[in-house]
Amino acid sequence: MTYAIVSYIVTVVLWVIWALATASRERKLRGE
Amino acid sequence: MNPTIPRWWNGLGMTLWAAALALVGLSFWLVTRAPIEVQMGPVQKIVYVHVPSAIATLVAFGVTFAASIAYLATKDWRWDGVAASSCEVGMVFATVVMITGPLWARSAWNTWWTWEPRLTTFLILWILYAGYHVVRASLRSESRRTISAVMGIVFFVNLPVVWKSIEWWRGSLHPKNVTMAPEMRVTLLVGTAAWMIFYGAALLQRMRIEWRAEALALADDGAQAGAEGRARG
Repeated sequence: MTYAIVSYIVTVVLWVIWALATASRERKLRGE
Repeated sequence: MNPTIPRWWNGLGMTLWAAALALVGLSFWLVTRAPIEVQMGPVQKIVYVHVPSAIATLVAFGVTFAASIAYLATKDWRWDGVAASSCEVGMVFATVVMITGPLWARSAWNTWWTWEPRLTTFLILWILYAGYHVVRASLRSESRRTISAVMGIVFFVNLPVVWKSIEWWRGSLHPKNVTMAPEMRVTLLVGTAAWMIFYGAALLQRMRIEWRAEALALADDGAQAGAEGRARG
């Protein structure tokens, strides 16, 4: 059960990191 | 080519994000409701995120391949942007597969890693496309887009190898056919649909960076040309 929960948490965390990094890069390019 | 993000792009992006997040939420809820597999127990539920992520990886790198060909044929920067964006989103999916796979393997095969055909070929795939980003980021010259496109085409050769590896080599631990209870199949199908729409939304979101970068590069070129014109005048 632990491994299954870890899998879903890791998936969500990876995508949140990607979303934050993408938003940050776009803000930089807009000069904000 | 106009480097301004079209209004319909923003609308489509928001619609896809709403659909993707709703469907991913639904698929997570279905995962909690799906029956527990008799032999493996609850850890089998990893499959509902592992398999859709693997499918999305192959689709994303397939789009990189097609967009790379389109770029070489047209030299339109937008195709290069699609190729690079799809490759980056595909890398996140591939990383999800590379992490959830060993978590599954530890329970199913009593080992974190084994050099069986599917795992080995997928690791090679991950390394190749990681190399795509490293090489692309290191290039600043005009040839960056062409070299990226060539990589996007050449690396695609490994995709059918990953897909067919369980048939081409002996010793595969990945099953060729899986029989599932109807509730399990529905959960897997909804999960696959959810992550595919998520891929589309992420691709559109990532493409915005390419648009901004192109607009910035054009503005720099324009400013430079203006300065040179004034210097001559």
